[in-house]
Amino acid sequence: MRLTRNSWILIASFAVLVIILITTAVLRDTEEYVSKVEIALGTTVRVVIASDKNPALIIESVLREFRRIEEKFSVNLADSEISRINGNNGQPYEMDEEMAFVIERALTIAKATNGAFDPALGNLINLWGFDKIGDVDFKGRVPSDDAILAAVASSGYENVEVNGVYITLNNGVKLDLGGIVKGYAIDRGIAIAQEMDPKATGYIDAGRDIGIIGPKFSSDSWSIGVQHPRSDNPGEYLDVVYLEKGSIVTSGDYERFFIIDGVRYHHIINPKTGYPVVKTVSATVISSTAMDADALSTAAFVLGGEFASVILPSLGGQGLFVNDEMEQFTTEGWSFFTEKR
Amino acid sequence: MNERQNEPVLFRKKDVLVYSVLAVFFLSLLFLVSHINGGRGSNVLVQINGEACYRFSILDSGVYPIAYEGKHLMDLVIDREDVYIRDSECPLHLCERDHLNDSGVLVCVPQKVLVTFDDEKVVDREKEVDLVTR
Repeated sequence: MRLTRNSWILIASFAVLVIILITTAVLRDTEEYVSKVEIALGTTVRVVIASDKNPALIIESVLREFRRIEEKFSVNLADSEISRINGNNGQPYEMDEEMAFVIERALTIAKATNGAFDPALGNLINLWGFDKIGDVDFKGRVPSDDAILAAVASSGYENVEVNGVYITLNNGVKLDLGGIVKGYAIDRGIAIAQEMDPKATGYIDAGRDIGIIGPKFSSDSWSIGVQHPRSDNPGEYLDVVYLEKGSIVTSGDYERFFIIDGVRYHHIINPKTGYPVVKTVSATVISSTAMDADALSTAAFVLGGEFASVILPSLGGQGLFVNDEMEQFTTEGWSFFTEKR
Repeated sequence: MNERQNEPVLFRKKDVLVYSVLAVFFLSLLFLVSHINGGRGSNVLVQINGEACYRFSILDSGVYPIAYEGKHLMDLVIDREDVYIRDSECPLHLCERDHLNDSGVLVCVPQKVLVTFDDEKVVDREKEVDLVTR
């Protein structure tokens, strides 16, 4: 068979086109992402990063920071700084800058949410055992009403006094910064990654609380599914949001809980009643920092979706909330994040 | 000579055969290339207390007891490329709820066990959802 000149031209054009397509397909994902997962702060921490400057070293630096923060802020470590503050018998304790920063931010959010987020619930959390839920010998228990009342009486951010670098815990209150420290650690991890390489992209996922280091492949948004709180299908989402920066955190009643006599007791305590919150099942917050998203998601969970959807924007957050009847509420600005950019 | 015979011919019937073969070849190549870099890993890595302790092929279905320092911690089940934990010795069995294909990681915090794909493509441009918050 003899091909004509025009046929050869067509074949050559077609081949060139295909070569261009193949080359594009191969080269388009030139940023190679590396990842490492570790257990820290009582959860899995996954760092995903693409960088021209030794991504493995950046990842290790981020994870080292998580370990450092755990050693400093964990109430389960007897020699952590937070344990020393809690054990100071109501005497003024001199904090370092970092501790002062975290505690002051926690108190600011506590005041702004009228205690819905409260960093001074250590006695309540310890009474329910949720501070030990990651231990191998954890046993879920339901405290007596009297014990709960007593723990409520010795809880509350109003008993925390900060004067400059000095902190005093009055009325026997104990701090538990679990509702904000994971977010703080994510922010620190992002800062470290960006300091080591300002062009780094990727994210930090700490127990499904997410902070963005940089956009996907340097230009795209990361698509993030908000898990449906009651679905058995892991691919079923309440919504999908798109973030190139910032953070998203979800508080839910389905991650840390125990069941006794068919009743689910989860870890998000209502500071006023001393019992786990019942009217909310999921609260997801987007904010510019993971620290704020972390604390605000807890606050929104306690406040309830209807109220949270109104006040959260004034606190720098946008959110999606689900109540116990599976009704969904969103803040006005939530839809901005659901549009793919 | 017939003028019609001298006209350049763009497509003959036999050319169609050539073009079809070429098209199938290049499209297959394109399909292959676009999927070379894709997807989930083929090996499952089990880390205990930060130490890589076990590695399994996802193609080897079975129930694998996971032990550390002589103590049974859990069973890892690989069932036709589905990977999950069963019979864990931890108090709340939260680790038994997930499947590796869905969550990307299985973790038992009390027993310090992490299960991941060893050679997974970390970020895929084609995925509709990159990660999940919950």
